[in-house]
Amino acid sequence: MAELQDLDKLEEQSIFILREAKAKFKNIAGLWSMGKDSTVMLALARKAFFGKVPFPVIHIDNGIDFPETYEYRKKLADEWNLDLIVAKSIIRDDISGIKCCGANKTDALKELLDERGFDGLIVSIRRDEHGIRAKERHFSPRDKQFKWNYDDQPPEVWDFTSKFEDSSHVRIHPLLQWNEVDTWRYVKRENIPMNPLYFSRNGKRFRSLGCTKCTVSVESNAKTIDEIIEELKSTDIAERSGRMQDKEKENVMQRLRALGYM
Amino acid sequence: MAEREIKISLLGHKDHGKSTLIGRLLYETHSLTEDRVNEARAMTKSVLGKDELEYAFLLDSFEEEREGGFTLDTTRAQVHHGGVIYELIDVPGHKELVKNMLTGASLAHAAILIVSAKEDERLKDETKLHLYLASLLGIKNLVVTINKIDTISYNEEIFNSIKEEMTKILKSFGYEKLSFVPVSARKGDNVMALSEATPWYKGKTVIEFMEEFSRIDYEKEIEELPARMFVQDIYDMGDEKILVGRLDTGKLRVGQEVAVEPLGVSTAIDEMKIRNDSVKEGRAGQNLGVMLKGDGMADVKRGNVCMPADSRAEPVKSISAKIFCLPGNEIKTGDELTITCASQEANAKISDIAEKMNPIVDSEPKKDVDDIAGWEAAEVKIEFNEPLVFESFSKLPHTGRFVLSKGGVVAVGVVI
Repeated sequence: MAELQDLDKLEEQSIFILREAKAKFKNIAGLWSMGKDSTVMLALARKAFFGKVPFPVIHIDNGIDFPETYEYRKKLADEWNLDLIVAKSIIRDDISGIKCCGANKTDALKELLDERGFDGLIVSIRRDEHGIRAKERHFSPRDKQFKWNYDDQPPEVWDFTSKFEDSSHVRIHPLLQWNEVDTWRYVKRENIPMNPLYFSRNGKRFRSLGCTKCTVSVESNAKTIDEIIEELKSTDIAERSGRMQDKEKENVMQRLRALGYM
Repeated sequence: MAEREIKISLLGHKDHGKSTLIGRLLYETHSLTEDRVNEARAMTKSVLGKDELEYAFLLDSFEEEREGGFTLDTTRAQVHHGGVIYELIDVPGHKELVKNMLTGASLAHAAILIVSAKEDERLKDETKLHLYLASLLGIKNLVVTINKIDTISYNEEIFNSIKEEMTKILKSFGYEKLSFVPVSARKGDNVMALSEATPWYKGKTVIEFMEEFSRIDYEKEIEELPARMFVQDIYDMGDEKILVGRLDTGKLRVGQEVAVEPLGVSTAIDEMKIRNDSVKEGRAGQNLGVMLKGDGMADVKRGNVCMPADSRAEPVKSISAKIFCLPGNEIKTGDELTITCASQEANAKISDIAEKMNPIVDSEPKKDVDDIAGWEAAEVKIEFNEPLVFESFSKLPHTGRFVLSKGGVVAVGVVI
């Protein structure tokens, strides 16, 4: 995996998609997990829209994210003047893993979308993250039941955006083409503030961030962005190896996404 | 950073080995992590009960795809080799899934067509259909791999007879410069290196053809075309407005005389921005912010096209076009349709069908018809309810291609 993608080209493509989303939909919002990708998406939006993020950003908050994540959320929301919506979701003790993600994050998102009537939702997934995300389109409708009919997606010929008449909302994926290492190279180039959990403390760091219940850290001595980039260039381990909901079964992510998970 | 990035689409029937060839290329170029290779090995064992690696499993897949052994939707995989990123686009081979095939193939710079040499496989409906669509989409760079050559004992005569049969089809779809490679994606023959099993083949390997495709300067080709920028949106910046859009072709510079069509505005570029920085020049591929001189900005809206005054395209109220109707749809003359070309959109109808044919089964076009069914290609006249910017696809692809919708997308087309 020696070759690196052209960051300028990736930026152009993402900006094109973000502007297209703003022009095509009446009421868009972005999901912000305070992780690296959704924060890069916001940095791109600030560029696309000449300095401000012109849509609300949603954090689906189950109350058990890491303390560092909450601090970081406050700091960046103030600094970038974000219109932050915190959607509370409730963690239940009786379920875990995929059922937990489904029950709390997905359901809280459904409720919020219904309440606020968002017709376009910007989600910062990347194709290289997980098998099933490689099948996503830049604009991908979810039906009235919130389902992703991945076997019957509308065509995205050239890069024309389709009309989506029977959808509850359309997922917009401006970072689909990015790889993990590109995100970090961009963070460095653009000097984007990052959640401190990504950097090594006592020989461990988080490579992918979820809630405290399901995310584990990986062995790493990478304390700086440069060290993370070097680490990624030589790693042979999948990015989401610390995310338990990916592991339960081969097709678990496919099921989660079909049901409305991000 | 990679010197170049190129998109190559894999075309062909579902069982002819597209995913296997991509998997083989990913594996041989070490473009995947060890984790992924091990995962695919484990999957091969559990799904197929085999010890030998199933290369197709190196591609991302849905559960149904692995179990059914075919590709349901477009998959992209990056092959990293010799300073170039090859984005390989695997498209579904099922003819019912042609809309997914178009999604994958429409942005490709080049294509690899795969035809199985196995006796009962060879030339299939999907082979013809994919070739027709590649030609419609304007994919000029194409190489044909005759796969599963091991199943015919690497026989040169059979290879030549398949080549002969394919040549006829390729020529009928306008492909003149033809190259054929005998390949076994599963065994690796002629993929990365010439195979000892085919001493009679002295041509290039698959990877060498890919390298050849990557040396074409696609960016320069696009930059040398006349400038065309579809207006995507207008932003209010307080005291002033700025129009934004991606420059699809050519170059634009500050001070240049421009026309905004179909608005009929002639003006000059006052200021240009890339993000928040003022720039003197913008080139193809860049998202620009443009401010026009005088009252040029007053009526500009999404869908307008900004172009140099000296290469101005006259707006039109009708076009002659070639269209392909997606399976499951039917279009009749007079049906109310929407035509979309980038941000440009209007109501449209087909006023005349000169001829139509099904590229899979028909050898002669049918005339005197007033409807087009799924899988049929037709030469038509399309009328709009307002003037639009359209140019011949062969001269300017970005203003020469469109989709027709009736609810959802029903057809793709190019301007003759």
